[in-house]
Amino acid sequence: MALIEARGVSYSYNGKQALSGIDLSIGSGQFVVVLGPNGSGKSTLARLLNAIILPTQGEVSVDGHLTSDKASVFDIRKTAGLVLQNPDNQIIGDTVEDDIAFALENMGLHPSWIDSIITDVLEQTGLTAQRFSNPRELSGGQKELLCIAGILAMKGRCIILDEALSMLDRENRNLIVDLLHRLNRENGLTVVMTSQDTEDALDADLVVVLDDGKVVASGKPEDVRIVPESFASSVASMLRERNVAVSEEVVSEDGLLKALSKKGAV
Amino acid sequence: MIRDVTLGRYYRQDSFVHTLDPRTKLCGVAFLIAGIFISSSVISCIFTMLCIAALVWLSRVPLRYMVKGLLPIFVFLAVVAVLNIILVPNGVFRAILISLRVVEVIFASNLLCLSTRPREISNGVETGFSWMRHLKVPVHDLATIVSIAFTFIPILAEEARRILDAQTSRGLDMRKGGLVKKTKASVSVIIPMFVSAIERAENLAVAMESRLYGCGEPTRLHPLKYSYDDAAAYVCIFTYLLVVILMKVGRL
Repeated sequence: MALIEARGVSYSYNGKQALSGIDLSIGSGQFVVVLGPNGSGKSTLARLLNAIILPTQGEVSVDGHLTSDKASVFDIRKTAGLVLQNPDNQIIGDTVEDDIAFALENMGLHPSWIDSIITDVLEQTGLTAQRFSNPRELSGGQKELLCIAGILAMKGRCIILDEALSMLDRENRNLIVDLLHRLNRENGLTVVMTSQDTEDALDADLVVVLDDGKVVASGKPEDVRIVPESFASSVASMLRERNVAVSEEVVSEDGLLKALSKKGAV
Repeated sequence: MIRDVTLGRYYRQDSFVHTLDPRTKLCGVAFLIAGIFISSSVISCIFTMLCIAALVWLSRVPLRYMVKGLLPIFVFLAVVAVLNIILVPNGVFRAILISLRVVEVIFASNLLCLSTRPREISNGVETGFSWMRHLKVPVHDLATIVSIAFTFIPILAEEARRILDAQTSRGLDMRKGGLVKKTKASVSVIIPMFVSAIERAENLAVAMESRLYGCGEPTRLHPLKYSYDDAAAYVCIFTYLLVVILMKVGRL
């Protein structure tokens, strides 16, 4: 059975359709990357999977619990934790350990358990030396690691990252992507990552491409071929910004895969 | 001036005041403020000031850091003093008394913030007022609000500074012109500030919900515990208030 399933999910904000007819199935232990340009509905999808918002049509289930079932909301959030884009807006504690403890305290765990879980996740994320530091004094990469540690502490089965790496430099970004792949491989943690960076999709088990609120392609990175003109051109512009030579022809003819492989080749 | 906001900033130090239980510190500040308002003579105001000075010394927070917190309200103090001198009989005495009281209240509250982490303040409020749960008062939520407010004061001050710098680089000059021009100019800082604060609040709410806020009866990583130092501090607090009341009764 899939860990996360979306069936015919639509969502609209004040009459504007953000997502329409999304069907998605994410198996336990998969590494999934949701790609799409700004306004394609990635953040809306991430929030739907965490039961922060409910679909206006269709249904989302996480580990067999429907997000519309109010009694299951905390089980869903514990199973699939959400990390947002800007770490400064989600850090609550005055010290690193206090911030990680936030969810554990909310779960009503005994202080000694909280303490040992904190020790574990700090080790996993490489933040042990920063345990008593003020989170505001950490670097951008360390702040992001702290947000991930806060979710890992809940001992859930899935972590959803909503463009959580978009504010990081390449070095920190690679560090966190490596950590996510390691957790995915060694602990079987399901990772769902929304991104605009096509490079993130290269090592994924499943790539879902969103455009204008619809899934326009999904599958393994090498199978994702059907890309709409708008997204293909945005991929091209992203590649050009990084001085990767891509002709309009390559992008419009063969879509994302060629753009990706072209980039990978360079 | 935004750079001088010290409210909500914790000053890390290993001192007697820092290690006290937050409930003791909250009670101490409440009694100090009560004492400040009971004081009606310059002598009792000076006595309170000496007590606060002793606390600052014990906290090992640099005095310049405390004084820095006064800068944003310097204009307010000056206006109050001038109005008292002009409008009130025996105005100079009243101006000195009121200014001293305001400075003392700010020092006392600043000392609490500088020596106590926001989460400790929130724990202190929650534990100290836990009896109010029986009256259906959402003590945990209120304590969380207090904690978040203290945490976000320096962050919002920093954000305001960034917006001000951005607007200054685009030609805004808050120092030039009359009151109307300055008020108009401040709109270009206040509106982005509001937008940013609302966006932050929304994201924080999502982050808190996704980390199981409201899931059930919360526990604490570091449950509060009184020590002998707290007992000694309570004796000092009650003695202070008693002395101030006696000064008031004895018209000192």
